[in-house]
Amino acid sequence: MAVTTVYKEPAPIVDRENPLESMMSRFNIAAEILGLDESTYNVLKAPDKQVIVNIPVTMDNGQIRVFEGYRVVHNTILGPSKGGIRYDMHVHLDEVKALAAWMTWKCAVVDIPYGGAKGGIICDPTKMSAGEIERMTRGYTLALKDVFGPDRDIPAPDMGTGPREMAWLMDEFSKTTGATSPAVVTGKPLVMGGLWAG
Amino acid sequence: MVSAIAAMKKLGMDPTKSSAAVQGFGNVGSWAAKLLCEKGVKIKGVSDISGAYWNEEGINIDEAIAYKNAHNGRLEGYTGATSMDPDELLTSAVDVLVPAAVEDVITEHNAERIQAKLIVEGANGPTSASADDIINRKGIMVVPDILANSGGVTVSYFEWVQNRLGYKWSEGMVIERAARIMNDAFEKVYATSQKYKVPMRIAAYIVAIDKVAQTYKFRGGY
Repeated sequence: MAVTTVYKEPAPIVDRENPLESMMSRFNIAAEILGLDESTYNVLKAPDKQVIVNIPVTMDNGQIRVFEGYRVVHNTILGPSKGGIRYDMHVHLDEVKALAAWMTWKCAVVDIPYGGAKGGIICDPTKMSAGEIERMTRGYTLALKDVFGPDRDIPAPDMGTGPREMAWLMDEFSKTTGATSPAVVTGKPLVMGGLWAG
Repeated sequence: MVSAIAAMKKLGMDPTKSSAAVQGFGNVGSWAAKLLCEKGVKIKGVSDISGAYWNEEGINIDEAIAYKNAHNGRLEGYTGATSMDPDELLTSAVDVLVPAAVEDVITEHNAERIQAKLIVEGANGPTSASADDIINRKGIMVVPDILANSGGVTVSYFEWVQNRLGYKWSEGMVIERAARIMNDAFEKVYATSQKYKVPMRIAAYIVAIDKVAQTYKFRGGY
């Protein structure tokens, strides 16, 4: 039953107008039943951390283009945060925030010791060469070296990314920290200790 | 699809006497169909971007997957079933409905006509909020997306665990342990839905939020 298809973290299509609010409306119904006080609601409404990075990338034509990337860590109370990295022109910080929160609930419901996170870079990977995507991925990883980590925040593939990007991320992080760190990211190629998806 | 089988058990449905329709035949849909089929469920209908296909006697899923793989990932021209209106697939006479394609396919416009007793959300957000009320009134059980497709993050977790151990589990162990986690999660959400008399979707959020809130209480520090 081994399959080589790569797991991409499924994520809900969120309301583009007000993504975090629509996410929190589901939360509200459950919170009301549980009788949660407002302070807990306020803690969970806002993400722990929102990082915006600018990534200069030397394009194949020699020019330097700057890409905007995000990483939102919604919550780490249950463990290091987990969530995919999306390469897409529609990446938007508010949406990344909502998807990060969704990962917190998703990990909690299956009872695995993770918090929730999500990241992305505004780009169109279909119009970039492999070299350009590699340099951008390495730049993003370097910019977020203090956010990522096997005990801090563990990315995964999402829309527009796959095992190839995860391998670059693992490599850059390992070189930067001076320690081989396969556990900094999941969804790596099978040969690198990647997963069986099913 | 561990949660689908667990849900069928709760509803007293015998998989070998049950039928299903799977909307979407990509990664999630084709695997869902295959796993349900292995449990003896008759997959009467499937659909993908090229259309919907129906076989009253049950579609041979291995054959359909092989066909799809040989034809650009599409079922177009598949002869093991007859074509049907894709919109009708969702309201067809089956016991289990697995929307595994895109969001908002079950809406207030078709929810009333759904005949399935169980909906397992393979895709994210396939049921619109406006359809939720109708489905709940009809007494259809919904295994919500946040639970039904959390197998992926579970296996990601296992990748991380093995990387940290510096050890590789057998494939059988990964599957067995993932099934246990998914089954435990289903049981917990189901028990919560019974306790608070709420649909599974709300129950899933209750389980998640309760865990986070309780941990905050113990850890404190703010």
